[in-house]
Amino acid sequence: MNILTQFGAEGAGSGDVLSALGIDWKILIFQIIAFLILVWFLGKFVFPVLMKTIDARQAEIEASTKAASAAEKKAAKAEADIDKLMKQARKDATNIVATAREEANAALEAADAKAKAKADAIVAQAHEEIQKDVIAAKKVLHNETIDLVAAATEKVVGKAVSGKIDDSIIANAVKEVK
Amino acid sequence: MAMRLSRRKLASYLADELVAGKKDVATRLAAFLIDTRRIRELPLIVRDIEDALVSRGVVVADVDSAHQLSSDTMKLLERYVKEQTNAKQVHFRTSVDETLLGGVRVNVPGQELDATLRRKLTNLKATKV
Repeated sequence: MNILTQFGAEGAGSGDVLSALGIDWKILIFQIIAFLILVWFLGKFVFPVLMKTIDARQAEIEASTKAASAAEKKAAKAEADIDKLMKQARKDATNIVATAREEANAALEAADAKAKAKADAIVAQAHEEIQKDVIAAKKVLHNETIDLVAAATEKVVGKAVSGKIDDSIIANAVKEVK
Repeated sequence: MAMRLSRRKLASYLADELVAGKKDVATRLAAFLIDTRRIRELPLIVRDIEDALVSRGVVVADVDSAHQLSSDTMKLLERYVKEQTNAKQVHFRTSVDETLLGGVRVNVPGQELDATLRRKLTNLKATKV
């Protein structure tokens, strides 16, 4: 409050406001002219270059932005494509795995069936061979028994059959024939 | 030259002579064969005579056995041969062959009864597989 009062009192004393404010109007004009020259100079030589540079930069930025946007879109599309491809690949992979599993199961079952059939055939062949061996052994036993019986009968009967027994044998034979 | 007499006719003639009971049939046959140089035919002629005798009711049977057969057995065989051949008279030509082991083998013209143990053993051996 005191400062304002002092400032008013000094202005009123000199009669010049600018002087009261400490401003020299000549210097002020000069400064204004200088400022205008500066503005003109800047507007004529500096700002166009700066603006051109800024415009170029802006254009670059916009182009970069556009490119970035396009790249982003491409990336998004690529990502979508990748997702799609991945989904398809996963689906294909699942199908392939399922098919491979089915084929493996089928191959396993086929191999199992083949092995079983082969085993059955081997067992059947073994049974057949055993049966043949048994039949052959029976035949051999049969023949050997006959030979043995014949030889034993020949030896025993030759000594055991007397004239009486022989007559009895003949009588029985004649009866059988009749 | 006299015509060659066939064996069949000769046998038939001699069979008739035998049935008639003539005794010198064998002598005459021997003389005939010597005379006609047909001695080699003797076994065949004897067989033909036996065949001819069959049709006249006389049978000559070959009986082979392992032992000498009793008279009862011979009678049994005689009955059997008569039944089989319808013969009125049966003559036996017996022989003992121990390899027959037992039983009897009777051969008459056109028939054979082999009831020997040797035959049974042979049949048994024939069943070998």
